[in-house]
Amino acid sequence: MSEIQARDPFDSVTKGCFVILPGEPVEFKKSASKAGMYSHKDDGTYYNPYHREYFGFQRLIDGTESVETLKLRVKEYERTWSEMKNRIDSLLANINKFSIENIVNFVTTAYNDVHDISNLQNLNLPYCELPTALVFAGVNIPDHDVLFKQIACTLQRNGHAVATLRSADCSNLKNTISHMIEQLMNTQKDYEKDDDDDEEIDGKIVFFKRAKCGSRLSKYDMQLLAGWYEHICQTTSCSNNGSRLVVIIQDFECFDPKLLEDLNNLFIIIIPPSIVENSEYRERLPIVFLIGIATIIEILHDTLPKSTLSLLRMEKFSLLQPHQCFNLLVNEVIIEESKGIKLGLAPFKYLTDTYLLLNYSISSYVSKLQYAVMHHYYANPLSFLSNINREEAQARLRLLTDEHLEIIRMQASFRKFVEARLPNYQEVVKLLKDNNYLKSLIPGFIEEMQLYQKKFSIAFNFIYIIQNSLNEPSMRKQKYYLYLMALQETNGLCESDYVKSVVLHLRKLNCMKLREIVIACKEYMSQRVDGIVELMETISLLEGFAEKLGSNDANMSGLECEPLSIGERLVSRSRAKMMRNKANSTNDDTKLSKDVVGFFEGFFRDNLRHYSSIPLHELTYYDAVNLLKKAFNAQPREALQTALGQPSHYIRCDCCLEDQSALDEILPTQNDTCILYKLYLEFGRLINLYDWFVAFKHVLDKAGPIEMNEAQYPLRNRLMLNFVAGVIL
Amino acid sequence: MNFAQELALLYPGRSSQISTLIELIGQPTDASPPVIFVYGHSSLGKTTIIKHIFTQLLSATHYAFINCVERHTESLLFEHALNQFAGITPSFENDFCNWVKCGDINEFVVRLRECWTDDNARYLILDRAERLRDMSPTLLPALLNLPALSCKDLKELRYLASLLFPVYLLPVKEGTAKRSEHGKLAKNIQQYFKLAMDKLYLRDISSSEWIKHASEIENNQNDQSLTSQRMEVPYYTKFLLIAAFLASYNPPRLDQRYFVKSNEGRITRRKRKNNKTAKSNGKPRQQLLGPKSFPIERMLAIFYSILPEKIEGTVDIHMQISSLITLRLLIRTTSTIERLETVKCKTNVSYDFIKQVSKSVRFEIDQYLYDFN
Repeated sequence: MSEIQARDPFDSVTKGCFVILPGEPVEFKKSASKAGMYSHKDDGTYYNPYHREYFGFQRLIDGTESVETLKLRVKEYERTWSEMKNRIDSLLANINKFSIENIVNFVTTAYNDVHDISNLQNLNLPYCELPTALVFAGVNIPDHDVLFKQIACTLQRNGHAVATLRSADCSNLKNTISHMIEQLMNTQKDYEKDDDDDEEIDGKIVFFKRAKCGSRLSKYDMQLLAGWYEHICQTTSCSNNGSRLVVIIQDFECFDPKLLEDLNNLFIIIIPPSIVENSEYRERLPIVFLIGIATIIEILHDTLPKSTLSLLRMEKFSLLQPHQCFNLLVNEVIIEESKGIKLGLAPFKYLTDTYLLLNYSISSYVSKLQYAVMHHYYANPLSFLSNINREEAQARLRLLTDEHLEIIRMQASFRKFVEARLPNYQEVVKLLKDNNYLKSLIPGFIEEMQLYQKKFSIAFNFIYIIQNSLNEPSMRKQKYYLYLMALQETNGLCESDYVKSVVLHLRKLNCMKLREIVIACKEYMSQRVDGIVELMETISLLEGFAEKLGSNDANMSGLECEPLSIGERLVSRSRAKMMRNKANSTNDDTKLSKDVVGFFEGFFRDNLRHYSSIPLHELTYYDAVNLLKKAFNAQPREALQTALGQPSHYIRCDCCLEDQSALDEILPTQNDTCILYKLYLEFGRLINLYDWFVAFKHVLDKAGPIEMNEAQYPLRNRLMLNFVAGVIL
Repeated sequence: MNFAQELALLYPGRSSQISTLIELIGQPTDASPPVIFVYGHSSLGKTTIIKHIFTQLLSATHYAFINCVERHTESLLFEHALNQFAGITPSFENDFCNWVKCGDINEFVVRLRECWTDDNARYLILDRAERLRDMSPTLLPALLNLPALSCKDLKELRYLASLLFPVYLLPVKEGTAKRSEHGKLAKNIQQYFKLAMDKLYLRDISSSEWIKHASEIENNQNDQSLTSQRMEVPYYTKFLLIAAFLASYNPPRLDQRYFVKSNEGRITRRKRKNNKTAKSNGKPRQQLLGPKSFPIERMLAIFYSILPEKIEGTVDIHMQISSLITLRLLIRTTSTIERLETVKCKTNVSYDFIKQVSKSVRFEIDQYLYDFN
């Protein structure tokens, strides 16, 4: 920058993109660090290779971290994230499974149905209707690509030919059709290659060659498609093959309505000639439309004219609503996952807010999550101890250096842990001084954390089960909201008013209802127990409760569980006798239900503690929300203002860095646009262009006398040019 | 000697054209082609023959003869045509009054229906029709589509009939009613008619769904699967939609009054509102004129002011704006330059929709709308 300035006082950076690679500051720090105890200074060139080899992970602890732990962190990151990613992917694949199955079903039966029904009822519709599936996919357009790919794949697997049309590829009818035909014919070819025998394929390939070098038909001629379909029908053994030509219109809102109109009419017109003779079923190509709608059905009425609308036989398929989707995701990835990195309160809240308030975008949620996980392993020198089992822990303990232990001692949760042991002076000293003693405790901490997570998620889901079976709509909370509450209550979720009132409601329940809840809890728990002894005991306890509640229930068969009205009580003596029986059993009931509720209360208290009460929770919980915000909440306006007001913030040029005090001053070395912007701020509402120019010139003159060996006029022109360029920008 | 031959004698050499025209017109109650295009060089007798045919064949109120040079504006054309259909001639006796005042095609269609008292066909004859091209560019297509605007679609009728008839017959098949009990059958079908008009016409329910569900509709009319979907939009995006709506319908000069957050502002606003409504009777209200376009910056300013809490202006908001544009909830009125800052938009959602959205975020939109009801 300064060099350029020296050469030409008016040249400056007007546009630029700066990539700041990590690494340089570390190099700097490394040389600054005094003790080279653990640094492997073999040749000093290994920093750059690391960037590529280890995802740009660097050695922490002032660059003294051993390569082994660095490698472990990278490895752990890859492992953890791939596990989480797999869970997310399989969840997303299954989330809309039901709807997609319905769609496939619709496509498969699209043409059978009509004929059956119309034959049955003797319907003779005036319109030749095109089966159309309307897929309500939600407003988040960026996620649609994945979704429709999924639908297309499923359809192809079922033997249908699929063409996906996006508005970006379809500017006019000609390229829309050629695009569509290409896709339809390709997919069909692949599908048949898989299924049919060799001879068939040969025939097909010849056909395609003929079609492709096509001197007769252009590739956007619908006759090509018709002829090709006819050929397929003839060559495939079964005459009534079920394959349909599915045309997916992914982003209906973005399409040119005229184009869609034409396309629709076209599909209706096209009739493959010989097929009509052969079969009475097929009057035209079995084209099925799949229209992705992000908004509401009214948009269809708005964009398409009545004449086109009447050509469509529409059925509606709605996919999962964003809230439900989000609930599942949070449950699967964050609440139930006992391994992996967890989000602390602030990041969780931030991620939830952006999803619910701003964009409904699963993909952006996932990328934020990935960023958090990556940053955890990238920046936390202790992260190689996160989520490991007993055997791994032993091996990794050996890698712990004194610096690592010091860092452990610096953690807030460790301080809490020590403070809790203050009465035991000896142990505290040992904790703080004896490295070996501390090391020996670490596996315990890690295990405790894992157990805590497991139990927490179980207890958490108990609450969810209970709130759902309560007959109180006001008590029902979404899972993500409950979890947010759990993170917010630093005393533990069990201390919150909400859980207290849940327990209160639990007390009011009768034994039948209670039994249902206990059984539901038991069933949920037995799926998640993974052979942990403590949890097995809890299960058997629950089983016991269920049995007792059941037997009480059986005793009273014939009696209603609900208290009877006074009028009924007076009806007869025999009734009164029964009432006495009932009173007895009610006593038993109350005791039993007291026990059950007591158990739940205790279970909640033990397991729904806040995560900050667990020692070394920093290993698992990620809390750096500011970094996430910085990375994902770009603020274009603020960035622009900073760039214009304090260009040194981004450019880091020497001239401005030297003199930090003069931030507001307009320096001639700054960018033209910056100078103009600052001058603009100094002026009032209206600017005289000439005054502005003079002021601009004045600032530049401050840089020193402009070299006079050039002629005056070109220089002035140049000045003018810069001014104009700056203003326009 | 019939009429065609008589005419052929009067206009020698035009016998084939005359007979074609007469065949096309047929009886007064017959449906004729929607448009008959008569062309040829000047002074070949087109106007004369046509005038002759129509005056002889039809009564005066069944056709309107219009010279497009004489009736050179839309309102002249429509009013003159309506006068003829209604059988009124502006004269000294009736104070040179037209039958009605009519300025556009919509009104024309409505009025046309009013004076259409019998089953006979009506003819609008446009002489020197090439002059239509010089009038509004939408006029000619509109006139060509006039039959569609004023008549029922036969196909649609067949469609509805073929779907409704089996339902109509159902009681007969089930034995609960006899073929002759028209009243009973009609009563039975009535509820379906209402549904069909609402849903079938717009294809909210497709034919196959109709066939499947017809029996169920009887039981619960508000079946979940048949009612239309509600759109789910993120919380802030709802406010963006509201802001866009306000920016489109409120005049910019009142922004300060509505959106400056102070008590004084509100009080003056309410006071003025009443005055203004009274005053602005002469001018058409924005509500009737449709949404006006506004710069994005203005919408953002309104957006930040109506939000119940303060948020940072992040790139997410801008992304939501662009996705609203893709979803056609906002319509971009400036050309597609990629810079978001200079974009002008207008809203594309209805008042009912925005009311629903406002309700879901507990925002009282009526308090912020100027001269709107």
